[in-house]
Amino acid sequence: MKLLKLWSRWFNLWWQYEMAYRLNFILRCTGLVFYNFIGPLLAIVIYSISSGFPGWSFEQFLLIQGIMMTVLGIAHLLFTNAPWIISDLVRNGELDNLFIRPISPLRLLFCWAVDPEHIPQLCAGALIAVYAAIKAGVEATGVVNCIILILAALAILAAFMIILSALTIFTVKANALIDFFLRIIAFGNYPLTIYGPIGAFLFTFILPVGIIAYYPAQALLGQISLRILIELISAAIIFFSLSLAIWRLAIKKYTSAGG
Amino acid sequence: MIRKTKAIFIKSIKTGIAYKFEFWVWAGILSALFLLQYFIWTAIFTHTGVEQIRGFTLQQTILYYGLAMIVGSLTYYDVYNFEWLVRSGSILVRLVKPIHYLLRSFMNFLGSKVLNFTFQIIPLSILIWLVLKPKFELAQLCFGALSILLAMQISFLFWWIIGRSAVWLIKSRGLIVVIDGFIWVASGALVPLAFFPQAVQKVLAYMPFQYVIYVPTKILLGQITVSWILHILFIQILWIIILLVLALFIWNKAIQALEAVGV
Repeated sequence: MKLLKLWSRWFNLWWQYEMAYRLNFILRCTGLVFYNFIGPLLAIVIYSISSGFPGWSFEQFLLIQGIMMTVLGIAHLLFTNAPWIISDLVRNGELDNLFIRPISPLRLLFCWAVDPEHIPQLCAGALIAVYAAIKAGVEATGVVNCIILILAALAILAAFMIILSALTIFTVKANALIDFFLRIIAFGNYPLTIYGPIGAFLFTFILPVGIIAYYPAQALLGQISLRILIELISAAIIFFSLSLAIWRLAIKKYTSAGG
Repeated sequence: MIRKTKAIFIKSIKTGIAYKFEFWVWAGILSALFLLQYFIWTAIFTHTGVEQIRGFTLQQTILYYGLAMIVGSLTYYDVYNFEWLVRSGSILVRLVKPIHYLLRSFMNFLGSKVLNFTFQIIPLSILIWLVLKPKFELAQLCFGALSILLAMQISFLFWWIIGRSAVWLIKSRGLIVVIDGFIWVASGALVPLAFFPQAVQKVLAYMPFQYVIYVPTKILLGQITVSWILHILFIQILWIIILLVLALFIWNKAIQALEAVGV
């Protein structure tokens, strides 16, 4: 409840700040939606000139793109700004601000990381996903499994953002690593089968970008076994717990530059 | 004048070297994205069971993406920073320097490209060679290099003009994001323009963006005849002249409109 109150106060401040430059805000939202339509556009181009990916019809592939847009929309809305905020605080010598408030530093960081300009992207992604799901044909149990996997994907993405934030505290400049992770997510836009068994393992358990859209799409289409579902949820829990441990270690090792 | 521009060029390289870790990471990102294209198009060609798609074989398609990444890296110009210079008022310090701001920006751009070439293009080129073992003719490489040099100027001038919008908008990030997304598609960075329907290709032909990535990459691929290359180089020069005149005009207007009181 306290977190929700803080989140809404922060949202109000953010809104007032953005409304000072309305045109820029509208253009940025439009640009972000346009950027994210590149995935569906690519799907249209690929399937208009070829048979596409083995085992995936156009609607099924579009489903992956729609889910990717939705999940990333939620992640950007809620927390992907976190490592950048830490990076700015560390470079400006203002990280102490995070520790002197009467709230857990990580919760406060996640409040500051809220970025509502991604709401249009989230809505557009959800619309594409729903359209593609109806066209591709989904199973009732698949919807539940899909939602569970989306939550697991958000936990994994949050875990990566926490780890990157912690690394920024350790190394001062980890911007390039943040860039690297955000770009590598592109591998999750495609069926993992195209990377071969080693690639599929890599993008499921080591750099689990496959869980963002590929596995939720498979779940929705009723093509996922209970064993894989349990393995993915376990991976999400392990990743998230590990990220919290790394964050605690970073805070413990942090030495303020103040006198 | 030569001494001043040389000094800015060298300073830009020295500043960039401080961020060499970022350049290395970006080399890793580009290499990973190249491998991604390898997997995507291998799967598509194998599944479709054809030798060619719209005039591109599998090898040419993957090579197209590799070369387009090289050209894209050399032509990319980041103008997000100008907004901050206007908002903070620090643009005024740069305006009193005894060198035109456009020329100063261009030397900074060239300096950063030396680092791009060293830390990103060379490792990516080695990876492309290891994966595809492509063969190039000398004429292809020479004309391709010339076309890339012209493409760098087109890209620089276009983005420089867009960046100046910060003088009027104060926050120009939104406009840059919208245009950047469009150019990603229209320049041939997303897919070769030949993959689009004819009508779309015809519309894009009237814009300068295909001369930034698609056309130089096609020249490097050896898919354009020499007589047509000369025609293309002429169009590229024409675009440079148009954009240069526009850039100087916009800059004069921007100087008059600039308030730059700082925040």
